[in-house]
Amino acid sequence: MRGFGALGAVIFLVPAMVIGAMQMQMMFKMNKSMGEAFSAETGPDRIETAVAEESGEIAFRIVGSRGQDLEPKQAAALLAPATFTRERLAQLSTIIDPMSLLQPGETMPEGEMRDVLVEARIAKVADAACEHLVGTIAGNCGVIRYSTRMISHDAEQDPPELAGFDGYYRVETMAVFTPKDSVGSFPQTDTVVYQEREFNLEAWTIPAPSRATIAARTQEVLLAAGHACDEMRAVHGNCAVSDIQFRISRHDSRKIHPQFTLAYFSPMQTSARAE
Amino acid sequence: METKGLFLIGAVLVGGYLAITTLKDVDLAGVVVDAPGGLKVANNTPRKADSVPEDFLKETPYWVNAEGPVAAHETRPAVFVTDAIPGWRPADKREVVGTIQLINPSRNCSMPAPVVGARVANLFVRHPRQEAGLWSFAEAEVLKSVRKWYDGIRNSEAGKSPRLPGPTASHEFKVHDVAVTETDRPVHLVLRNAAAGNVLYNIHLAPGARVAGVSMLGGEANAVANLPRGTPVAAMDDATLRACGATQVFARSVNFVLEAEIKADKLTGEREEKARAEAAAKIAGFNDWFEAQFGINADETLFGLAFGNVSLVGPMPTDPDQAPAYAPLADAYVVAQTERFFKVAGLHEWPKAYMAEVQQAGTMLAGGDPLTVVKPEFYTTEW
Repeated sequence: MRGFGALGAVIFLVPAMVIGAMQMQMMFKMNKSMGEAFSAETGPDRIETAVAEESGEIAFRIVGSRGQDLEPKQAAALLAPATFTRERLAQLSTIIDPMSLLQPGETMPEGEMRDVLVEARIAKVADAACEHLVGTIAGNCGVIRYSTRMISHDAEQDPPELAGFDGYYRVETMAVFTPKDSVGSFPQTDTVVYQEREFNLEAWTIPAPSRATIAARTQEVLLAAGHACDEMRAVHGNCAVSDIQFRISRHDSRKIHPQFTLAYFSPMQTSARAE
Repeated sequence: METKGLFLIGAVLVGGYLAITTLKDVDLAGVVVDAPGGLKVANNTPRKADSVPEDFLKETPYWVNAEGPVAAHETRPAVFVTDAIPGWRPADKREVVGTIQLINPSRNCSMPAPVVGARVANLFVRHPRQEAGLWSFAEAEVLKSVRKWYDGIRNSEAGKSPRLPGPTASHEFKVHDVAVTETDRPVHLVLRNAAAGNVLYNIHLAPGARVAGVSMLGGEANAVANLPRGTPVAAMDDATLRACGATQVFARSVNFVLEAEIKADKLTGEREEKARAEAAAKIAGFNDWFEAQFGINADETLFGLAFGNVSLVGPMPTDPDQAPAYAPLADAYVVAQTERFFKVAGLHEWPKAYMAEVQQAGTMLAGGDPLTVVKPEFYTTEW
C-alpha cells in the first residue's frame, strides 16, 4: 500500500512539475518580449518621434563626414532641440569638501558611513551642475547619473601636492540638456553633412580643492562653448553643443580636462562629390 | 490553457495527498515530533529500530556530516540524540529567552585560561540547523542595505517609492545543543564556530555535571544559553582571531585542499613545497595559539559533526536519572557576544527590526527623508 502511494505521488507530481515549469517558461518569455517592447517605445523611437515633431518632414539626405548615410535621429542634437537626447550630453565634475554637506549641529561619521552620507547628499551637487548649464548654454537640463568617490592620497606614489585633496570627494554628474539658443537654419540643399568639431581645451591645474574655483572655471568653459557655437552658427547658419565635458583626472585630482563638441550641418559640396 | 491549469492544480493536490499519506507510514522512532507549534524536526531522516548511529554519518573530505538524529561525541563516532538528551526536541525560534547578558569579544589576543583541574572539551560546530529567535548583524550590513535603498530611489521612476531592503543574509542565531554528562571533574567548553554565522550553544547539564568556563571561538556572533549564572564566558570572533594572527584552521580541510591541488597538478616542484610549508605553518600557527590558551592540541582533541544539532561531552548516560534534562530556550539565561545590532524575539519582530535600522541609518545619513534627498535619476521615463 505504501509502495503504491509513493508511486502515485511520483506519477502525478512529475508531470505536474513539468507542466508547471513549461507554463512558467512561457510566462517568462511573454514578460521578456513585453519588456523589450517597452524599452523600444522609450528608447530610440522616442527620439525619432521627437525629430519628426520638431523638424517636420526631413527634406534632405544626411550624411556623415565620411559620406556615410545617417538616420535623422543620429543628428538629434540639431533636429530635436527641445528634447532630451543622448546626442546632447554634459559630463561635469567637481570636488567637494564633505563637511559642506553637513547641516548645523551634525558631525561627520567615520569610514564607510561617511561615504554613504556623501552618496546620499550629493544630489544637490548634481543639481548645481544643471544650474551651471541652464545659466549658460542650456534651456532645460536633467541629471541622468551622478556618482562620487573619495579622493585618497597615496603618500608613496602621489605627488605631495595632492595631500591637501585627501578626504575630499570627486563628484561626477552626467546630464542631458536642450540648447538655450535657437539651433539656427539648415542648408537648403538635397544633402547635408552632419559635422562634429571637438575642442580640447588646455588641461587646467588647481592648487587646492575648491568647489568655488572649479565652478567659476566650469562657467567659463560653458560660456566659451556657447560663444564658439555662436561663431559656428554665424558661419554655417546652425550649431548646437552636442557634448561638453569637464573631467577631473582620476590619477591626479589637481588636473581638469575641459572639452566640448559642436554639431552643425554643412551643405554637401557637389563638386567635391564629383571628384 | 485552462485545461492545463486545472490538470496542474489537480495533479498537485492528488500527488500531495498521496505523498502525505505515504509519509505517515514511515517509522519515526527516535525522532521527536511533538515540537512546540508543530515544528518540523531539524534532522528528519527516519531512525529505524535496528539503526546504529553510524548509519547517519557521512564521511566527506572535509568533515563528517550528521545526516540524521545523531549527536557528536568525543570517543564514539556518534550517539543518538535522544540517548544524549532523552527529552530532546528542536529549538523553536518563537521561544522568548529570559535574560541576556552581553559580553565584548576578547580583544587582547588571549582567552581566560581554564581553571586548574578542569577537563577541556574542544568541540566544533558547523551549520547547525535549529533556529533561535535571536539575530545579530554588523553595521556594514546595514550600510549595504542603505546603499541598496538609495540605489533603488535613484533608479525609481518619479513618484514611485522603492521598498526598504530587507536582510540579504541570515543573521539568525542557529542553535547547537551541548549535553554535558561529565561528573568526575568540571568541564571547560571550547566551542568553535566553524562556519561564518551566528551560533547559540544551548547547554544541558546532567545532574552533578559542572561547566567551569566557556570559550567561544570563531564566527561573527556567539551566545550560550542555560549556563548557571556566574559561569565565566569569553568569546573571540573570526575577525579578532585573524587580527591576532590566529586564524582558525582545521587541519583536515586544509590538508585535503592542499592534496587535491597537488593531485590536480596545480602545484608542483618548488610551488608544492612552498604550499606544504604554508599549510603546515597555518596549522601550527593556530595550534600554537590554541595550546597556549587551553593547554591542549587543537586538532588532536577536536570533535564534532557538520550539520549536527547536538553534541555530548562526557559519557553516554545509561541511567535515565543521570541524563541531562532538556533545557528549553524559553526563559533561558543567555550570555551573548554580538555584532553592532542585536535583536531578540519577544522584543523585536524580524525582519521589520532590521528594516527599521536601515530606515533610521538611511534617514540619518541623508539628513532627511531619503525619498526627497536622494533624487531619482532620469532614465527611460524622462529621456
